[in-house]
Amino acid sequence: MKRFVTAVLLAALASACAHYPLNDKLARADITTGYRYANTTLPREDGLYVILTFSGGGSRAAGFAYGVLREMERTKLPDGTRLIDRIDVISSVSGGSFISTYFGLYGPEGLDQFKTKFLERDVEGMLFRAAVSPVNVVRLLSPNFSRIDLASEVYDKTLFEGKKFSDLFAAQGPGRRPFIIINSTELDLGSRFEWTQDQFDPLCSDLSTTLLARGVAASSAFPVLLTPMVLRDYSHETNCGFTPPSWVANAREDIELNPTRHRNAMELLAYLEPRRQWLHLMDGGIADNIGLRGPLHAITSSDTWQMDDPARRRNGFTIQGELNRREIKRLLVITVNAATHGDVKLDAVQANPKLPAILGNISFTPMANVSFDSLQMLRNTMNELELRQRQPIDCQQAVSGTCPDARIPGSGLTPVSFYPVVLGFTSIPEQKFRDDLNAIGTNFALKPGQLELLERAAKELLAGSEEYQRFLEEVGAQ
Amino acid sequence: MPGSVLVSWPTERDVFIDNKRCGTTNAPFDVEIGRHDIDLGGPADYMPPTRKIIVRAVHSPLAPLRVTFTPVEGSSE
Repeated sequence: MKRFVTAVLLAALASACAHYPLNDKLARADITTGYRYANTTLPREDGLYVILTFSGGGSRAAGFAYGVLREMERTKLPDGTRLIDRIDVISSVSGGSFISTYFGLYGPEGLDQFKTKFLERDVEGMLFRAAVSPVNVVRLLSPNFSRIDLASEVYDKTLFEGKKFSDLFAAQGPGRRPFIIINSTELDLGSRFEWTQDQFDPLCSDLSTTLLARGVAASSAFPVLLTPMVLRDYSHETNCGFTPPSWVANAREDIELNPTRHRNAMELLAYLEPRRQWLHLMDGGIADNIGLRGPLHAITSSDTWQMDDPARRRNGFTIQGELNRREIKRLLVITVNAATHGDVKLDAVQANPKLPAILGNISFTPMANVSFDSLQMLRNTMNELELRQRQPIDCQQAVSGTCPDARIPGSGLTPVSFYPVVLGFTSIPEQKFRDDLNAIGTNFALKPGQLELLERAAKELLAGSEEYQRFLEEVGAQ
Repeated sequence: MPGSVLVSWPTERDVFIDNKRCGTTNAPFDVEIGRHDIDLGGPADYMPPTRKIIVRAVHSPLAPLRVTFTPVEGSSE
């Protein structure tokens, strides 16, 4: 009896002690420091700008993205550099965030290690074993420690080994690594949440001391299986000096003219709402499962969440100005979408589906539809921008015969070349190969041979992509 | 989708939208549809110092929203 009471007391103590690491308070918002786009911009001498987006989909997504990076590693540009060394930004969700973050830390040289440490390991099994270990069973009884916190511990131990966002920042300058945007979803707002200091400034929170594994775990916190990750919003209790950028005041009046812009402003202001003291973050796939919305916004808007720079030199993640001034001459956007499209299932039988099947479909269908719309938006946006940039040139040519002295403003500018590359399993022509890819589960464990399938898919899809091949041809890559 | 803005000025210089360098004078450039503050940055040799504009979808590269600033007396422009 005495032993039992002791055990219960120890368990209660362990449970009471278990607490997730709370995000730190920020003393002073300062745009010259921290993991933000303005501080990690790479030099771009030749006007090439490359954005990658990695979708969700567990190890399947990570393996597919791995295959794409390997192909880019083999691709040489005329100046001798590899295409993989020219990536400017990777925006990722869920399973895609594991490889994007690791790539941000270690670059191409870390890909072999990523394969060994993540893609070839049964991370799913590690999560399960951690969840059922007696110590963790007790820890999980704590109201301040839940499954997502345990998952982030597993990811930290397996892959990130204590590295923080300050390490990601430190790795980028000398390593010429891309800016990594890890995307989650803020549950209450239903909006995208980026793990960058520009997003953390309104919370008066310091991202640099946060473990990378926390960001990746929140990006892949699949609803129900994992719990939301809790962050503290300190803005109600401290004044770190954050002031909303000047566009916000204008955008607040744009509800009819441009509801998207108005919503962006209201989402930023929502983090300053005094009653919003805690955030609850879940899988980035809920808001955008291919990580494309952030880059799309950066292409079409100059609005960012970074505070105004008095010197007017530092911007958050926007490239609209660089496109306008033709400082960017070629824009390559590669979306790596590991979504699967299964065979006929529910409709093969007359009987109504069971509840789990219904819940699964009503969860995934809106995500798939948003992804489809995002990809269509990418193509439409690039087509329209190219058309707009050509209009003055075409007009000049049309009038030059009859009015040789007429000068159309903008006709002297060379249009930017846009390359929207969309990689997905639906483009695989071979039925059997496509079926094999679609059969890979959305978990964190690949079966033998599946990684090779994903690498082959990446290679064949890039080889078959008209836009990618047009890019290679126009830049003279090999 | 954006709208187009064209700022005429005797020489080529930067144009700032909501405090960000977004385009240059004498060529149409894209701005997100909505209300914005526009100026030419330094040197402050123009009037007014800033303008409020409303960019709409009808402002195409061939029919942009035209914005004018007046060189101040004594400026080199």
